[in-house]
Amino acid sequence: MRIVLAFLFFANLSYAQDLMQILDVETDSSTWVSATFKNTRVINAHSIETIAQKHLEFRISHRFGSVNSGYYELWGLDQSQIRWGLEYGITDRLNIAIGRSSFQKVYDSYIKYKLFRQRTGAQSIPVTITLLSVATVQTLKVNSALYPNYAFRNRLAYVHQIIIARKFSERYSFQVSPTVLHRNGVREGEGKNTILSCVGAGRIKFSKRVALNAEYFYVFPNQLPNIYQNAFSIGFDIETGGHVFQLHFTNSRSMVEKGVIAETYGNWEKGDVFYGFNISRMFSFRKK
Amino acid sequence: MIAVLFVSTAVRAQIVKTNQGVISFFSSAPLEDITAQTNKAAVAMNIYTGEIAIKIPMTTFDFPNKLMQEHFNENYVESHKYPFATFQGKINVAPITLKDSSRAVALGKLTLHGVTQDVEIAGSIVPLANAFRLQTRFFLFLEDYNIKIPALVSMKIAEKVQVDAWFNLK
Repeated sequence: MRIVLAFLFFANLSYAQDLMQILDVETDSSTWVSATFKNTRVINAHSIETIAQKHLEFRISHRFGSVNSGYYELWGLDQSQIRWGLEYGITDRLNIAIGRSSFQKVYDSYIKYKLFRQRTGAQSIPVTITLLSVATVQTLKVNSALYPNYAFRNRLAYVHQIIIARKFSERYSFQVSPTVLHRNGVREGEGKNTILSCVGAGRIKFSKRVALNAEYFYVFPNQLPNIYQNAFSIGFDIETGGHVFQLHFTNSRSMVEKGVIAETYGNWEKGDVFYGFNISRMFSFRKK
Repeated sequence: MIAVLFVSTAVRAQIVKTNQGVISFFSSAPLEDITAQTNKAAVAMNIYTGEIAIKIPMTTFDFPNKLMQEHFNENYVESHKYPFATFQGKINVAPITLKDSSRAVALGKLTLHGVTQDVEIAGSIVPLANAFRLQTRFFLFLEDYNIKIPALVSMKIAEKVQVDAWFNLK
């Protein structure tokens, strides 16, 4: 009996010390990776991030004139193009949006779905994968003398993208996005209807609230005339609670995919780049 | 042999636990109220000794505003560095029985954001059918756990946070 008591006492003691170890075994150490990027856009390109369910994001994006336009134009600041957008989370993974750009009077709309989420721990998933489809309608007036039967369908363009991202560390994230652009109507000298490209984008976080982003749109050769350039952009994300401010330099004038991919003519070497500035504000419609 | 068997079952029976403990917190600042809840806290208690351990995965706190949730994890509690908050301590009314409700105090160490503080948490133990329900409400100060609020958002985030917790331990 004495032995039993001693054993009981010993067991009690060891179990008491092991309470936390019991919990260590029971708690699942795997966690979903969040905040791979600060925003749904890296700069021009979509990131893998989606807007949470019942959250609405209002974005206002500005793109100024070219920096090499001299002091008369205040290095581009006198001219500004705008895109505004309303983007909504139907679920945490499924987003829809509408937007309007002053440049070429383009309406755009997208649907975005997060297919896989990166996860660490026991059941890990190495990357997050998001699918994106964008449709745009360009609504500039056409010269009816030159184009008497200009069909509406010629104004449409579509972009489909698979975005694959990995958050390598708290500071460093990278994504690649194979992309197909299809333009229903192209005029002479505008290249092929269907354009294949791939976007690479990354970010380095400097502090909790400031990150440096860069992205490059690589268009595969022999699809566009030589006057067009691959879009390269570099900029900062600055986050202040409900707002994210994005400040950047880019050689793309357009703020919608079809323009960034196939209509970028700015040349970095000549200083033919544009200053850009986005503000986004998130609203939550979830009940407290 | 029988004695050993008896002992091992007795020992097992004295540990009650859950991995669905509910913890919510609430803070009220001039511009914004912040509230979040998790039901994934893991709790184990030894009913003979009153010893208790709690482990809370920080990323499981659910906020109505997801941007707040992101900021909570990224900027304030730094979940990537400190994925769990823990409490290790002892309840002063051991052994704990399934007879009556009783007021109790847990003394121990609360670790949050990598900072450990000695705390004294008052609560109650309510007997349910085949379970012990532990519940408590207490306040903690972010400053004690080295969670810094930038001046820019000091009107939105309060220093003092009310914590409510309840666990059904079986």
